[in-house]
Amino acid sequence: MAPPSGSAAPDGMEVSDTGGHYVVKENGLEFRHMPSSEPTPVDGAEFLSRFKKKFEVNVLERPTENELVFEMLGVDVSFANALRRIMLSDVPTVAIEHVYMWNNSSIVHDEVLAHRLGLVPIAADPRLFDDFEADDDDPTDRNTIVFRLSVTCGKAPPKDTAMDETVQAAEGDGHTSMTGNAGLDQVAMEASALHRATNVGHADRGGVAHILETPGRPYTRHVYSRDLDWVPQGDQVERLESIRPVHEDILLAKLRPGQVLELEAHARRGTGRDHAKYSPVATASYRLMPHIEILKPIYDEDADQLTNLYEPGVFIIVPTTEGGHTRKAQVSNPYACTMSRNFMRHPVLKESIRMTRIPNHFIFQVESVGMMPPAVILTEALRVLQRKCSSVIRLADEHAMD
Amino acid sequence: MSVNEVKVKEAEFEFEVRGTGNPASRTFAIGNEDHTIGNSLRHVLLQNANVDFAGYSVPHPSEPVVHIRVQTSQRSQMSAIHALKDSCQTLFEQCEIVLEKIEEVMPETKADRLEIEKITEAEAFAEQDMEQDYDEDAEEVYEDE
Repeated sequence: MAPPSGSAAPDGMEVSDTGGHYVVKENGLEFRHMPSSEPTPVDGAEFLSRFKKKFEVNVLERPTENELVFEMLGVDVSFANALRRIMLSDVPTVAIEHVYMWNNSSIVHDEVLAHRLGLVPIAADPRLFDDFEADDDDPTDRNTIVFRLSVTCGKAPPKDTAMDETVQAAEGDGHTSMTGNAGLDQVAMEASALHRATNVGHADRGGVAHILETPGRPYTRHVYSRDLDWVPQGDQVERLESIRPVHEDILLAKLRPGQVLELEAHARRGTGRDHAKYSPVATASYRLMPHIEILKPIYDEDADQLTNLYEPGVFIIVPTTEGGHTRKAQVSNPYACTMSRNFMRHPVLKESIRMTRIPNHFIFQVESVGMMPPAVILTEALRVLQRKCSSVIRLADEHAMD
Repeated sequence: MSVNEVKVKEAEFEFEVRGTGNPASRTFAIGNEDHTIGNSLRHVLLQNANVDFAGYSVPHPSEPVVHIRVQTSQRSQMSAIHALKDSCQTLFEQCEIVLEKIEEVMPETKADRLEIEKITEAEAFAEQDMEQDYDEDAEEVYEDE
């Protein structure tokens, strides 16, 4: 377990730097303020030297390349929350903002399609772009990415010879005609349909089958995000590597034969504060490290019960010979604990454990959408916070000069 | 022409100081900011022995304005605005320490930072070069005349 980041309270609980500790009561988590034992730092330099001594960062898990779980010790809640808020809403990203429709004869309305396009995450590093100064600023190759989407659904292909004539008749009339073909050999029809579906419908990603031909369903052209073509402007070809959406299999629209989709989409930089499509994280959250203390030893059946009340691994059973008991419970992995208060319903267990949270020990979980790795989002968030501080200093200086 | 009518409105001012008299106590109204900077600055301000009182508020959630109230102790002779600037600087340096630690623990962030710095440097050079090539005031010299 990580060492407590503050001094100890009289009853042994960890106290935060600002003086206080967390207690889990029946009605929830309580934060009790207590005077801090250390005197307040004299100036910024002392604060920073104290901070430097206590501060720690450790990576805990990397479940996928877009998820990061790490812990931060020695920071205050306000700092951790500031980082979380900035990751969510102030780290800029690039997303489609304006969509110019030239032809849309699909059943998806213009604005609905434009909304969907906006939500498609784009794998472009936002730091290589400039901001749009104002809404009516000119789009340049430095602040806009242009995509073009040009899709037509052709006529249903002529029936291939592998198909039965009866099935041809069935498909030509649409999906309601199946019932009209009485006297068909049902097994033969299903077999040929299965053959078509496996060979034609579910092709590999390379030989992309845009048309999903499932028996009984109309012939449709599915428009995916991979159909968005990047149109490099100016010197973007040299400056940027190929720009594509993060995921190529996002379904945007479905077209029937004869329907056309032709549009140009302009992507620009923005922040989550403006629209959630610009947020670089699926979500970013933190929790405080749980801490479980065993006040009175728990034996035998009580120990079994306790272990079952928590996530696997939080408590383990160890054999013991104390007082004639066979086994007792021991805290093994409080990190996995989700602070369930179920144990308070059992009179014995209620008195035997105390759950608290270790102050100033944060476990962050950052899940990136994909345009930037989560560690980079974290560092960008810190730089945004620095920029905010610098801007306040600058404003204060300007004000002093007036 | 934008359909996006529900844009977050910018604050009318960026920075205002309210309060008169003894420069030891002031209220700072910062526009286009919220709890993010308000709470962190408040915490850093409180960790300064010269500061007697520090608090922040967001007068209305619909307006992006945050008020930070700072009162410094009389014997410290530090003005409120000085305390605010000091705390901003301290918070800035705290971020710097955190960034350094993160680069140690997650080396991919260091590689990423170096790459971005390389790109921005290259662009800065390119711009400089362009500016040097184009000299508006140079006289045209016609050699054959």
